[in-house]
Amino acid sequence: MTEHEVILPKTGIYEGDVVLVEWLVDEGARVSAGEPIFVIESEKVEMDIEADTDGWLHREAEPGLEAPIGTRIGVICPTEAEHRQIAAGP
Amino acid sequence: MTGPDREALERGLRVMTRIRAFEDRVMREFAKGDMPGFVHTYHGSEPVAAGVCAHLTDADMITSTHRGHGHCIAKGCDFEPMVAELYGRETGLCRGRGGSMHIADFARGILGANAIVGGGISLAVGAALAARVLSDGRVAVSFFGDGAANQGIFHESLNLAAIWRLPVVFVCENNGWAESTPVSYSTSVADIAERAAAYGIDGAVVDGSDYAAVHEAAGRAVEQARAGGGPTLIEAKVTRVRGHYVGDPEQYRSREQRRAARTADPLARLRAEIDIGDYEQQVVAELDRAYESARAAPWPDPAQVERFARSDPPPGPEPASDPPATERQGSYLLAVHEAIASAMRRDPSVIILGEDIAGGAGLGPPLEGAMGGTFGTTKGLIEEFGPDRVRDTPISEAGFVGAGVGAALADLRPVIDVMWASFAPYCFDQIFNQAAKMRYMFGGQTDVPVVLRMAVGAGLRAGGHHSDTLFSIFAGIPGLKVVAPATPADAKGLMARAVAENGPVVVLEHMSLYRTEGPLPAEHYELPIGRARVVEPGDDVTLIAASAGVVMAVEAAEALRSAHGISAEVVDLRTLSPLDVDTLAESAGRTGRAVVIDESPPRCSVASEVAATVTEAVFDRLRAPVARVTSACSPVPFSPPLEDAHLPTADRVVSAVLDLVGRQTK
Repeated sequence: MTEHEVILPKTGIYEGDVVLVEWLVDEGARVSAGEPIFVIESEKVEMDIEADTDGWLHREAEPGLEAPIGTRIGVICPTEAEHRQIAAGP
Repeated sequence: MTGPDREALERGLRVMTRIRAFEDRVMREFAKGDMPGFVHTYHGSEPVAAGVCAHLTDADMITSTHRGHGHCIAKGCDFEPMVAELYGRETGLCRGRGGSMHIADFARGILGANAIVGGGISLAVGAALAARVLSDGRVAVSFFGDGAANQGIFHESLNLAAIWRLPVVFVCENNGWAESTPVSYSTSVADIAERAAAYGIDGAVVDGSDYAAVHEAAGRAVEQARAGGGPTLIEAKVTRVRGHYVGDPEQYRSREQRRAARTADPLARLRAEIDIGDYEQQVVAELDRAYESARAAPWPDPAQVERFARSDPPPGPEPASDPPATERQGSYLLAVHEAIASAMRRDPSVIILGEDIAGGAGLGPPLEGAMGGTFGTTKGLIEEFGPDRVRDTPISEAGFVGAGVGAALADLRPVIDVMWASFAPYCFDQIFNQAAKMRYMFGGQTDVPVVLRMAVGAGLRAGGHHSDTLFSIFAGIPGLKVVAPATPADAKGLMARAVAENGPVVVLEHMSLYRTEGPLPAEHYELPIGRARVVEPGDDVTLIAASAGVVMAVEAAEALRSAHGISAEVVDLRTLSPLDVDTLAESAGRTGRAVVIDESPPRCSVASEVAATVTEAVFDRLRAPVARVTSACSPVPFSPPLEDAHLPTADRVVSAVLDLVGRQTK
């Protein structure tokens, strides 16, 4: 697997659960490092989370998910072909 | 000076590549949730650390900020102990005691990141002062942000460096934001470098995204500092590419503004010009190893939570608890003077600084008859040791105390005269956050051998700003040792010991005692810190006091004996921190009663601490509760009847003892 995990991140000193508020880009979209790709809520503050690498996004979680820091919510695939393969499922 | 040649540019690009890769990795790893606390990354300022530190050797010293990873890397820190420190591990640079915001590497001249905005500026001035006094050619550089330029310590530090023409370079990394406050709102000038003119030093604005420009400006400033030409203020304009900290929601700027900031890339220009091959991949591999090793590294042992909090005692056996026997009489003031003069003769690294300690030293000869301090304790020292080691300061408590602390990090042993203790709040950061915490936060990498002298005490009709004792304020700070001598012989021996100690010692000299006389041995001797002294033996009650309180206790003991047939033992604490628990417990346990006399206000006082300590140690042997006789819970008043009512007196001690005896019902 060469894809890059997208996780609910730790932001600041808060260590409790984080809410995935919304995705800012579509399933399968090409994203680039630094581009905001989803919004989280942590300690009642919403913030954009940026992609930390280039690639094609596969979303694995729905908005409204409330989960611990580090929870995987998607992947960024280095090629479109890999994204197609992952999106097709196992 | 011309700009950097190609080889220098390549070295710069490598350093910047290391910084960028480190910080990108910090962001990714921090998101996972297992890196404790919070971190601030250096994205956007890479050319500043790299371009400045290119001119420094390991012997040169820097002070850094909460955003200090870039400075550490540019100064040559290895990744592995840096990353281990970010994870709070025993193998970290500071053995996990500091973390990202307090990272330090003394072997590389990094005198610490500093999470107090502006906290490092005066320390760098002090490091430069040490370089000047020792004439060793070292240079100090202080990195700080635009927010720090609005702190008083910035202004005091620039003035000190200017009047002493110290080898220091001030580097302001102006990223436009003090946390969430824009510099356009917070700062009175368009360019912070303009403020150099206020202190008569050179100021330069440089594009902090341009490595060659930073390299050239810093080279000029470092060369000037090293050559004795004095300080420079460099303002490097940079972009805050990322948030204030990793995970900052950046509510102070729009999504569009954030996006624009992210596109700033100060490495791009050099990357286009210079090929460094697969260096970035090598750095990434180095980081892989550092993270793997850090995550597997041991945590510090919780049983060692207090390790490094206080300096170890000086080497050699502990000195005798009593001063040498003598027929010689002398004053408390002479005792302080002799201890300092003797320490300066014995150790060339001892310097003294403070307001008026020479008195008119800046005016040049004739020095004969210079004031020698407000109370005259340092009179005559400028004649013997010269203005380099007996250094008058401006009225800049934060600045010169910070400078003294910085000099203590750079091989001097400064004795700083704060003058009245009531002035100490001006330099509380330098005492509390810097001197007292550094050994601990840096995992024992450094000692901070500094003595802080303060005159304490009321009764001189001086009012609220010249009368405090502040016993509990200093005794309550981990990392400080605090002595409050009551006799000339103790004042001399404890001062001598304070200078010999490797950690910060606060010496509280009581103003009402300066003119008192007592036995004063002529020779040099030290008395141990942390040892109380039984002044007068007794059987029925223990009177515990320090400083001028001991005089009251002795007077009360005499009255109790003559008027009431009560035998009181008087114990002089001598040291307020650490307390000599054994002596207190032995005495109070034997007499069964204790009264503590304390000239500071009662709330959370040393008297309260002694009472609790004695109670915990010998509760089952006490015949009555431990009583406290303290000053009133008010500022020290001016009007004589009010001031008299404010202070503890021998009469009140007698009453407290009689009350205890009366309460004894068992």
